[in-house]
Amino acid sequence: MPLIESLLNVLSVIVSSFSTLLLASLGLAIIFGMMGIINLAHGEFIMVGAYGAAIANQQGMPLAISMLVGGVLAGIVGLITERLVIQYLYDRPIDSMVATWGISIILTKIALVAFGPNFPGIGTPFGSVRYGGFSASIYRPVLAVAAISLLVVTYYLFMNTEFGLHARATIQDADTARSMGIDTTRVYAITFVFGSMLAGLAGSLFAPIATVSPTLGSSYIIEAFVTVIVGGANVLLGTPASSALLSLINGGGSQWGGTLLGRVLLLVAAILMIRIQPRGLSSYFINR
Amino acid sequence: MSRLSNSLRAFEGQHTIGNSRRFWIGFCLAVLLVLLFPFVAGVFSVIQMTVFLIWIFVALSLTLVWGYTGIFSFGQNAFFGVGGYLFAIVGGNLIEVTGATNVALLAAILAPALFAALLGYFMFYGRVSGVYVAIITLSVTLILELITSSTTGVTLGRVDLGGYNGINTVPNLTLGYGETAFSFGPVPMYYLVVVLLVALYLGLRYVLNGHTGYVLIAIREDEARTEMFGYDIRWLKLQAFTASAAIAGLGGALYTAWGNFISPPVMGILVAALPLIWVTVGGRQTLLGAILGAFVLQYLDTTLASSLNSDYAVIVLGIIFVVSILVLPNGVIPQIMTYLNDRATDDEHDEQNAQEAGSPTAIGGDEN
Amino acid sequence: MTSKNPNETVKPHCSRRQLIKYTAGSAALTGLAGCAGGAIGGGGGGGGGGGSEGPVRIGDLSPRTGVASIYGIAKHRAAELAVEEQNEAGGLLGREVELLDPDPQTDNQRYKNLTQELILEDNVDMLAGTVLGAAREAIRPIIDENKQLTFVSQQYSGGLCDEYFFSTGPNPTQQMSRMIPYMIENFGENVYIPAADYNFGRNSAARARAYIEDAGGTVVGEEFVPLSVSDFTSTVNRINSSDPDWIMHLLVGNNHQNFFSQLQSSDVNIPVGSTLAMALTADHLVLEPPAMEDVYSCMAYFEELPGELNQQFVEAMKAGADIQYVNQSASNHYEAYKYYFAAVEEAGTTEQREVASTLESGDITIEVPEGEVRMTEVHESTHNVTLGRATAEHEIEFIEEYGSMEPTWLQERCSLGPSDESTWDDPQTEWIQA
Repeated sequence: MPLIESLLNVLSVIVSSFSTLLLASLGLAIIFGMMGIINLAHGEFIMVGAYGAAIANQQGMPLAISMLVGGVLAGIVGLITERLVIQYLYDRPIDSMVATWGISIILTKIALVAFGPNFPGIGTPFGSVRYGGFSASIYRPVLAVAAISLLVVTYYLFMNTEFGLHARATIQDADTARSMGIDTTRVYAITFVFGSMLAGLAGSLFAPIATVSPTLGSSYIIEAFVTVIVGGANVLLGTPASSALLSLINGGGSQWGGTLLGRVLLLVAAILMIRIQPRGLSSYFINR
Repeated sequence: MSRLSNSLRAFEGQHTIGNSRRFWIGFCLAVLLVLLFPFVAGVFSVIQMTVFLIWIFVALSLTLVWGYTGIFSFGQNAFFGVGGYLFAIVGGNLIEVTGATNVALLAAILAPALFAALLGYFMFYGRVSGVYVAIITLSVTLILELITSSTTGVTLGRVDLGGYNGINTVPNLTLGYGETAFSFGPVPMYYLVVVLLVALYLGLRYVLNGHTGYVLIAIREDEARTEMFGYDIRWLKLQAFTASAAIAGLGGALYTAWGNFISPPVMGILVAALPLIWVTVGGRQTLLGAILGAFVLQYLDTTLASSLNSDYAVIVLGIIFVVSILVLPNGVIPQIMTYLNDRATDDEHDEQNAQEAGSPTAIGGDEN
Repeated sequence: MTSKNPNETVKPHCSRRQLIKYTAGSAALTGLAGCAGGAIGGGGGGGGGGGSEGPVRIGDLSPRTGVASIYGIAKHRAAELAVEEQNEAGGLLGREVELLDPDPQTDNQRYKNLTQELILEDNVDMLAGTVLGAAREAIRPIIDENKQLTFVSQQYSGGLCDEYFFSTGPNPTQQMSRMIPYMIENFGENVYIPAADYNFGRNSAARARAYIEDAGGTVVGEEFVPLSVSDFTSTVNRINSSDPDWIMHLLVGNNHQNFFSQLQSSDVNIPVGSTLAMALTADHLVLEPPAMEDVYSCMAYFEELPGELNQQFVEAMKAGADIQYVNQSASNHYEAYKYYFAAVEEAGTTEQREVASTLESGDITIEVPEGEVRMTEVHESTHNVTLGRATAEHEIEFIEEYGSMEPTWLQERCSLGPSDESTWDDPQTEWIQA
């Protein structure tokens, strides 16, 4: 029995870490991985989503709707950001870093001024499961499923729709795409908004297991960047692969030696992975 | 006079701003004002100014490694932190023995350099480049923050590492030996920092305007082509990276001596991003841009925070970042230089036009 | 010993303390910088402060932004309130009380700069408002060097023994020494300790362990969680594996707040004993019920404490600013100001040396929302400690009232007070490790 419990322990931590990494990095994978914008405000988009969900939930809306509200709110913030700032920076990644840093501190401050340092959160849905001495919340595996579903939706959107075709064309070669009649400005805007919405949905999904506060974003931004980079250029396959690999190491480390070790191992693993495979894990998927 | 301008030539070149007599006069004036500052300002202002200047070391180190060599390093604060901690640990232990912190200062410069050499070897000889370097260096910085935060109760020799509180019993910078050792209080520290900073700036000007500068910029512009010319770019990048780490480490030692403390948050994400922001806003491909960006933004940050309601102060600062990067894509200093150059060219054109108008072939004077 | 000499305020700014600081070689330059320049106001000798004319100046460094803002915002409001009340009552010794309150943004570099500014340029009579131990330790060398009377008002892990500091924050003796035996008696002897991985967490865990073992308990597991971690899945697993009777909670900060929800949603229904829950960060209002059910918290103050004085205090606190919950930080900070005002009135002067001497005499007692408290000889306040428990609906019921508790652990180890061991000019300035 203890063996199975030990296995369940490790598995539960890995699943939890996987869902966190994948969800946190999805939006950034689009915005950074595909569009090349170093979005230092990514954490704050997540935060906006969490606040949206928490506020909607407080107003009495059902949980699923509240979470969608969070996603939409982040999408709106993303749209405003894109129209005002980002659209001028698509070929200037370093400058996008500075601009989004400014946006990040603005958003954090607005949240603090508007809602104070603490905000009522959302209860964790779905209950728990027990096996002998092991117990865990069902919500975490649900999060993993949600993360994968969002990934599948994104995949479908980019691979099987006309918009997706235009988006991939624009990202690959904007000039040629434009000369083929594609409205690249619109494509960029929609893609950015989509990435923001993904970040917002991640925030909504995190809200029950996190403290809804203005600094919520800072706990996810590093993991998001690390996961996207280790994943590499092929966002749709590389990002889940890197989430899996890093969560294995982070989760295993946390369960075996404590949360500090888990966190250090995550960063060390990222360093080693980048060194071993500078093009990221997606180079194993691309056959060029 | 001509011998002076001849020797100044070594510090001039197309890689740094300011190659005219006017510039050097202005530069000397600026340095003079800086040197006179303690005579007109209270001790507290001097103390505050000193730390602004100390962080410029980090900004310059970043300009060297990123602006000129093209290595996107998010790790200057790691070297800053290592330098600071080493100064604190070695200095705290040896101050009773030697009465001075000479060795500590040396250690604070060498240790980050060594660390950078190892990390640089790991990265550049593994052909890691671009934003991947940023992630690795950022990860290293954060790992150091995590590790130093969990050193509560850990003592190295006589120095308690203090965990998240950091080390608070750091001696003043003390140079010399035994009874005659000189301890740098606030005002002497200010002057030392100014002298070192000017020396660093001139030293960098000299190096960057010489052959090394051309090679580094070549690496930044096109690594493959530079390699084809026969340069071992891995070795050169390693050298630039190590040198910049030594500079950042020196900054760390000065910071720790200035405040008599060092703590983990200097290696956190919030503080590590600041030098990148400063040099990008100031103009990362120029030394002056780094200096002015770092100084002005720190000054703004501190002044806004203590004057307005600090909530709104931070929003204002964020807006400044966004606006400045949109309006001034290469940074403030290059934009100013472009403006000045355009005006100079306009003046030249106006002169030419005036000359042509006054020449015999002009048909009457009313046509203009 | 009280000098009412008006000339005492006219000393120039390049005072004795500055000259002592620097070695001979630099004194000339220093003197020049200090004397010639922009320093405002007359500085006294060693004690600093503004003298006996003009407003009484208090420097408040409560951080309204940054990671400690949840404590700092409440403290700042408490400071404003205390000053308002004193000024409405006619001021302090007939003089207006002026509050200087820049925001250090929970940044150590800013804390140091602002502390120096308040002492050297503004000549404050009293300084208050650090929250995290890191900030306190960062400014302590400056305080000690300038002999500045300073109050700290945040609960901490115990051990500050510094002549110039007075503390109104509860310490482990007060919060743990009765709670831990209660929990062991009522729930069992096996305890699991999850603590924040920094100084406060580690020191508090060490103190908790000592109290647990003294009461016949066993620590079946202990772990330290970095402040940046918010996923407690592995912690829950370890708690399940070690099968404790109750949990000694010492987690801190925004990222750690969700621990209670994660416990409850993983079906871990073990009682939790804490010296941090509810009264500091309003967990029972932020987390959705019943996450906090069976969480016991032993604190010097809860917003929900009965009593008319507390009711008035809570109303006044919430009136002025955006305060959602009046926490223990606010109450402790308010106490610091009340102590200061009482001591100044008793001493008849704002001369810092005198005020400190009055405070450490042990005779200053004040009536505050938590009850009657006394400043002891070791520069720590007594506290009226209460054990509260959250119900499934997140109401707080008060289980035990332990009354006024002395800081006995420190009293055994620290010799401040009107004794020869530590004086204003030859001070003890130590941290006593647990």
